[in-house]
Amino acid sequence: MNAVENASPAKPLNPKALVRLLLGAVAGAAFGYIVVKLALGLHVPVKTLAWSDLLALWLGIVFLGVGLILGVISTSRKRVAQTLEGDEATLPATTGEVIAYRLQAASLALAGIMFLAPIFALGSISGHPAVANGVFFGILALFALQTVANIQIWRSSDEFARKMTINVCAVTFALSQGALFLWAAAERLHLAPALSSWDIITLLMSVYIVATSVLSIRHAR
Amino acid sequence: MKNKLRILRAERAWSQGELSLHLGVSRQAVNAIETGKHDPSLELAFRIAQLFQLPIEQIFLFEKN
Repeated sequence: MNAVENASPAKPLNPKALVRLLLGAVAGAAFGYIVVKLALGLHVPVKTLAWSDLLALWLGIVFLGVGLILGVISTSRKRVAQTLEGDEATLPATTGEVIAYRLQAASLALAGIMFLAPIFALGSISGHPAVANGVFFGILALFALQTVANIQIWRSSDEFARKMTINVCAVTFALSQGALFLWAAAERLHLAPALSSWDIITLLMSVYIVATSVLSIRHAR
Repeated sequence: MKNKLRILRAERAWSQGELSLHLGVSRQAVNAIETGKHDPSLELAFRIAQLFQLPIEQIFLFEKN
C-alpha cells in the first residue's frame, strides 16, 4: 500500500447540521428567556445589573443549557454514539462513553447553577445575611460535587481529551494573564477602575468558553 | 504527521467506534488521528502498530515541515 492518508477532504455543508444549529439557537433563546423570567420572578433587578452580573447570567445560561442538552443526549446510547461519530456510527455508545457524557453534563450544569445562584439571590439577600450564607454554603456543596465530577472526567479521559483540556487551559491562561496584567498596570497607575474578583472570574470563564468553542470547532469531525 | 490509519481501518471494515474499542481510546481520538489533528503518543502509536501488526513507520509518515 503506497497511498498515505491525508487530512480529510472538505465536507459539503450538511443540511441536517444546519437544521440542528437553527433548532439549537431557538432552544437557547427560549431557555435564556425562561431563566431571565425566573430571575425577574425572584425580584432580581435584571435591568440594573452590573456588566459582570449580566456576564454571569449569560455564563450560567450557557453552562446550564449545554449541560442539559448533554444530559438529554446521554439518555440514549445511539444518540451518544451519533454525537461522537456522526452518521457512520455502527456501535451504540459504551457504558464508559455514556458515563463520560453524564459526568460532563453534570459538571456543566453545576457550573451553570453556581454562576446563576449569586445573581438569583440578589433580590433576597439585602438585609438577610442568613440567606447569603445559605446560598454560599449551597455553592460550596455544589463546588465540591463538581470537583469530584471534574476529577472523574480527567481520570477517565484518554490522551486526546487531556490534550484538548490542557490546550484550552493554556490558551485561557495566556489570554487572561496578558489582559489582566495590562488592566492591573493601568489600575495601579489610576488609569482604569478597579475590578472585583466577580468581574475577573466572569471574564476568565468567558475567555474559557470562547477558547473551548474555538478549539472544539478546530478539532471537530 | 501523515498516517494510514483510515486506510487500515477501512481494510478491516471497522468503524471508528470499533477501532476505538480495540485501542482503548475515544472515537474522537481515532477521528483526530485519522484527520491529522492529533499526533498520538508513542505508546498509542505502538498500540496501533501492534494492532495492525505493522512497523510504526509503515503507518505513520514523518515529514519535515
